[in-house]
Amino acid sequence: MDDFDNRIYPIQEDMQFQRRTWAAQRIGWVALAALLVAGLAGLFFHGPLSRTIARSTDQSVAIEYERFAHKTTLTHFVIRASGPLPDQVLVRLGPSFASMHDVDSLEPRAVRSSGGSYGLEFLFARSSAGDLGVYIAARPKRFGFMSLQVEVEGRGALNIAQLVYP
Amino acid sequence: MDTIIRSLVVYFVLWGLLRLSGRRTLGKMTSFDLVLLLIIGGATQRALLGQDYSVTNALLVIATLIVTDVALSLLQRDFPPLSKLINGEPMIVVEQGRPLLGRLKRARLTAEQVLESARRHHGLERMDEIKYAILEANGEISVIPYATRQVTA
Repeated sequence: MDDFDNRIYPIQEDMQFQRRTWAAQRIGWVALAALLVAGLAGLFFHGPLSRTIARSTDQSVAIEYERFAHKTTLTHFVIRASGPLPDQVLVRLGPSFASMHDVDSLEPRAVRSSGGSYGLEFLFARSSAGDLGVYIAARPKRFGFMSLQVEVEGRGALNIAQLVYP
Repeated sequence: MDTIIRSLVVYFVLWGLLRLSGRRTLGKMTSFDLVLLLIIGGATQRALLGQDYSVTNALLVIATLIVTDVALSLLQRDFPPLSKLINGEPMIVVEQGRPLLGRLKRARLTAEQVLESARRHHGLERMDEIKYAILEANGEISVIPYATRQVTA
């Protein structure tokens, strides 16, 4: 009798089912290992696949952000605009930002901020070097896909996309 | 609603991961296995409760898990093939004193581990004293010794 033939005593076996279970386990192990590799590469958050910089066509505006985020976990957006800029610069975040994120911190503090159907608007003072750097720490409050338009007045708009995992 | 969905997802994902890991993870508890279970418990706690640590939310999580557990046990009772799928099936790994090496290898078991179980639970010394050894669905190894040991004069 072969090792893998069904026995009927003391238990009734089903080796075909057992073989399928082993095969499913092996597929599962490979899938888990792939998940680990993808995680290390940043497919789920933090890592080379996630961190990215979007730039305007004239390179005057750049946004550093994470393509992938987790619900309730802090994620960062850095908006940079190169000079020369006026004394005060208006930055507009599209409506999807406020519906997807809670702002944890915003540096520098805005001179004026407002919100409406257009999204969120912040008026910042430019730096002493004549450029602007805005650091936003935000916490996604729901999972899903976010497509966001970021506009720096006088410099044009950029579109970025972020996938928030549950 | 969020709490209940989260609890269901965590329950079934955890079940799936433990089934994928195979029976050896469930059965024999080494110190590493204990650490693993403690870490799994800690990791899932926040996933279950989210940011809501209220008594109400905790009760909802517990109720969801209990209802799911009872529902699955009832389904298993009424649909035996489902029980096979959920729990797995026992498998003979030693037969008439002979280890079934192919099965042991696939189950990631060694003959020494079977002997250890036989020694611990039945005081058996050798493989040929084991009539049957069965790897149970929960990962434990059951040993059926021969009714009387052969005694050489």
